[in-house]
Amino acid sequence: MKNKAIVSKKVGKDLSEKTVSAIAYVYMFLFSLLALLPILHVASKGVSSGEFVTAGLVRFFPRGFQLETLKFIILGTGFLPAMKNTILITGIGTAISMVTTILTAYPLSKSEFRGRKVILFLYVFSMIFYGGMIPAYMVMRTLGILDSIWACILPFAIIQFNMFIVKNYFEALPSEIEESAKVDGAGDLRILVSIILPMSTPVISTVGLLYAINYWNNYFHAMMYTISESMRTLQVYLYNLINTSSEVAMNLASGDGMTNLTSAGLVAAAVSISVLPILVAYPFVQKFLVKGMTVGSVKG
Amino acid sequence: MKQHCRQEKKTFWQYFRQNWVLYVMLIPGLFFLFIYKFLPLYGTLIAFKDYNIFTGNNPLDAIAKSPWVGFEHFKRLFSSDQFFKVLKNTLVINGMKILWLFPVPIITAILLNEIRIKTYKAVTQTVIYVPYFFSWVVIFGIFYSLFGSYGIVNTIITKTGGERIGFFTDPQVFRGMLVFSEGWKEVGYNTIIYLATITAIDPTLYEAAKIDGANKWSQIWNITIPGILPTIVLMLILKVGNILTTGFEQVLVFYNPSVYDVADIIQTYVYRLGIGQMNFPLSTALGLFNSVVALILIVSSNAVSRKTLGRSIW
Amino acid sequence: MIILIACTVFAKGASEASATGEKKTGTKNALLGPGNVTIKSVYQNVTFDPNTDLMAGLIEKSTGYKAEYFTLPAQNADEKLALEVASGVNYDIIRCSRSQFNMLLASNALMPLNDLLDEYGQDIIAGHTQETWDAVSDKNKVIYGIPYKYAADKEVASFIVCRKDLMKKAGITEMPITLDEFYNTLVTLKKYYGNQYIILTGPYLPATEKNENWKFPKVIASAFGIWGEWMTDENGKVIYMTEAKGFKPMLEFMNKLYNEGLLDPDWAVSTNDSVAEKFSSGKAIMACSSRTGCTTMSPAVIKNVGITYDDLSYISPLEGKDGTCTYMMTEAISSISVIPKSCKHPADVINWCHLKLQDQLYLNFGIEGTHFTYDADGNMTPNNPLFANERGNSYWYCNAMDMAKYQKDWPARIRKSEAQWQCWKGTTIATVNSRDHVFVDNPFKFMTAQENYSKFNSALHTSLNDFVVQVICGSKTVDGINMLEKDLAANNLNQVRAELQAYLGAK
Repeated sequence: MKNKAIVSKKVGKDLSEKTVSAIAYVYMFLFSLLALLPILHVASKGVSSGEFVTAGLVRFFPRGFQLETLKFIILGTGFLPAMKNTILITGIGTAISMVTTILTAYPLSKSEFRGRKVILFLYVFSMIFYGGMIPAYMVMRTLGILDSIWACILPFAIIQFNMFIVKNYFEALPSEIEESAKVDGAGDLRILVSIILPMSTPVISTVGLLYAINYWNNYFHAMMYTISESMRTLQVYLYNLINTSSEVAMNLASGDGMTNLTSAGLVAAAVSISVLPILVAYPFVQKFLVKGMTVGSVKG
Repeated sequence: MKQHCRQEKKTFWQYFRQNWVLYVMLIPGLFFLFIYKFLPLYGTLIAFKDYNIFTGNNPLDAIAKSPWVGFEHFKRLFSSDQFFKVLKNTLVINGMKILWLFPVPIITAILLNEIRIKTYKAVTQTVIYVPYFFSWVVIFGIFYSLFGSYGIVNTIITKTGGERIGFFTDPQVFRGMLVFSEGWKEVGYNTIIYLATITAIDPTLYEAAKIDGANKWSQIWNITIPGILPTIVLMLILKVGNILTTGFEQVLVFYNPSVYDVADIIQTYVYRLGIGQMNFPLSTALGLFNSVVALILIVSSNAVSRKTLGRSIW
Repeated sequence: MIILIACTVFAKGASEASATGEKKTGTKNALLGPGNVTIKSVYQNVTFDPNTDLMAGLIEKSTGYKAEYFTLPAQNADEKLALEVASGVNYDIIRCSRSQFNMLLASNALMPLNDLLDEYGQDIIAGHTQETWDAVSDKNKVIYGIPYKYAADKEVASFIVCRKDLMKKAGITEMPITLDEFYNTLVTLKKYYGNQYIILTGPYLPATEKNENWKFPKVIASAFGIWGEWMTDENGKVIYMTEAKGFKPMLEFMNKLYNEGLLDPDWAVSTNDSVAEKFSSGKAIMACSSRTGCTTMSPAVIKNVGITYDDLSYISPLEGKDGTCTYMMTEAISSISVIPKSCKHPADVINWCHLKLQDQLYLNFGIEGTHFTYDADGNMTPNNPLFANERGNSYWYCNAMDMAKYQKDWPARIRKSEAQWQCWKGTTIATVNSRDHVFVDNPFKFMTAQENYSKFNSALHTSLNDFVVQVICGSKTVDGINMLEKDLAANNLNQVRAELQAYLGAK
């Protein structure tokens, strides 16, 4: 963004720019507050004492700070294997999906590509029609990948919507670079990898994040296609916890003290844990969103 | 859209031979699409059969072995006197959501793009997209403690002399609660998508416009928005296409018997109809109906977009 | 030894059939013995990994069999189970809910157990009454599952917990027993406290497995002679709750309470968590609750408001005009352990269950002196926290029980939590001791699988409960009962009724 800064210094910020800037700062501040307060509320509930949580007396900061609830979830026997599975699935899955998506989006982004309309329509059609859980399950079974991480990865090897986002991005790139590379004799694959991709870091990081979120959050497939306890994913583990939280609390209650393992507390802690890794990953994605067009920019 | 000049019209095979690499690139995507999306479409047959999962050797075999019943399940779906009411609710609620919530991520992305202080931008961006990860059950808990009859909002209202508002029990207000909570959950996440597209816009366009004397508003209107128009069109068409299918989980968690009249949507109604029985055919029939409607909506809105804006998804 | 190996080989070859294949006799009944076979057992979902829990090790040591445990998910469990059984996933023993049992039975997927039980499970047979066994058999007395009863035959599972200290301040000294006393209590509280407190909040839907959850208090319904969704009148005719004499009066009563501000205005929106919140923070004077609810509500309110267990009191089933008070007994079968036809070593499965039964005291309660003690009356008292830590999860692993013995000692599991014990004492024990006559036997408690009932009862239940809530909160009037009856009839109410009547007739 060096060019822009120089230009700005020369021309100076006019009123409209200042207004929009001010609006942007205030708007984002309010919006963030609106989003942040409930987040703090949930996070606080996960580490507050049981009696305050059950009574709904936790506002935005922990009251009666305790780590028992978190410890119960993390040290619980199902947690680490589930975490390991989810990390594997997210890592491998995102990699596979990105390759598939980019490879598909590139040809389809060329307006003169023959067969483009047909294939794009196929993708749209597949987004709309869904055959149901039973045949999907049977496909998994026939392929022999039930009860493995592949059953949780392969159905998402390409998500049509994400492919459209990448395709739109490729379409918006200026065509001169590509043409000059072609004149120099470069093949399609080489152009894609050496020229297009470096210019596409914003969309790659965004869509990569979208895929990662999808794999990380997926509950339904993981629930349906896994059988053994060792193949549980994080979301399944947490979802089960949330749904049985009152029974868990009842079975563990002993003595006459107030337990910190309450239904509401367990749910809040479980949700906070599942959100945390995505929260941490985002700043890394951030970096790529800014670099963007400056890499390999076109000047003449 | 990129324009290429071609001197002569080539045949398909000539084009293929020249650009076979491009076609090979499509193979992985199409392969997965075929196996995981098209093969399972065989299951839509369940909507037309009296399906018993245990006949035959396995559930797939059971589809072939179960008897045909034609459109009986669809008849059961549509013949209920409740059907039109829940259809109307579905259209109204999802229509409201599109109307109120669609522009917000776009505006947010544009404004976010104007922020220069990097840490401020990064922090706010991260914070607003976290709500997406909360399940509806958790979000209900949050909103109930805010808007319930003894929640924070009502406490403020009653303390300042007003009448308690039944945000969750008053049919007049409830739909607004659905829209607002969905906005809280989804806007931040949708902003990311638009933000990525904004960064694709050539910065030299802005420079040139500035030199020509355009102010910020004009730049946004003439450069930014046309720049992200393909994404806007894509998102809008998809949202309209899915007008019958979205919102099930949210409504199921938020609604209660005193607001059924305004909030009962098709899927929650069918859910209560089939509760306790594993009615695969009924849910498959509903899914098929939704898909057909979605296809019609998407094709028509795409045609409209093609005529008016010159943009098409395919 | 050679014969054993030969039998194993023969058995392996004979069981190549698909999931719903033919039953093969003789070879399947060969016992392979502990150490030669791994039992694959599946039950409902739970947070701990049943494979690595302490109990798994104890059971393996006690029986000698290795076992692999699986769980069904919290939601969509029925669908997943159906999919897995229909596509031939290898489970040896499935502990299922009543609805799952009915589904598997109707699809011919279960193995008959009579011979196996006769040969390897004599104690299992002795562990239940004939009536219980009939409930898991078909018309020809072929047994298809091992029942597991809910541990308490008579329990006041859904009651109202109250702040006795606040009531005393308002001048109320006695807990209400009749409906009129109850109404007067509420009115007095409202007059005294005005809008400072919520008088009665609810509904609370207990997590206990057997009873149908109602969105209105059962202890109030008792005063109107309503004890179940399906009841029998004086002539033995099967009636639905909407046809009971007391239904309309009950609706009117509840609506009156709501209109006079005696109920939580958010009655329709309440969740268990929100009810718990209002009571635990001291905002509500009374709350609908259950054993599960009180486990956290009671200690929470004690800590937050600064009271003791003596300041909490409970309302048991209320009496109506001319002494009407009916509360349904909770005797029921809560889960059934079945063996799918595809199981290759059913004899070992039964043997495994049998061995667990014989060791049930140790496995479920522990060692006398370490985990528990017997008091002077022969009642078991747990040693906290060791009892909860080491035997808390044992309930998940039960398949076959000597039910009578288990029920006698089971209250110890309630005793491990003071909160549960207090409400148990205040409601169940109090009612059993002083008003045992209010308990009504449920004529359908051991009903065999009925087609229409399995299909439609849940939807009927939802419509009924929704209607009651709508009337209470005023979005519908009592006259709307005609529309409701039409809806119910459209949902096959009369067919279900016919089935139930036929079942009673054949008993």
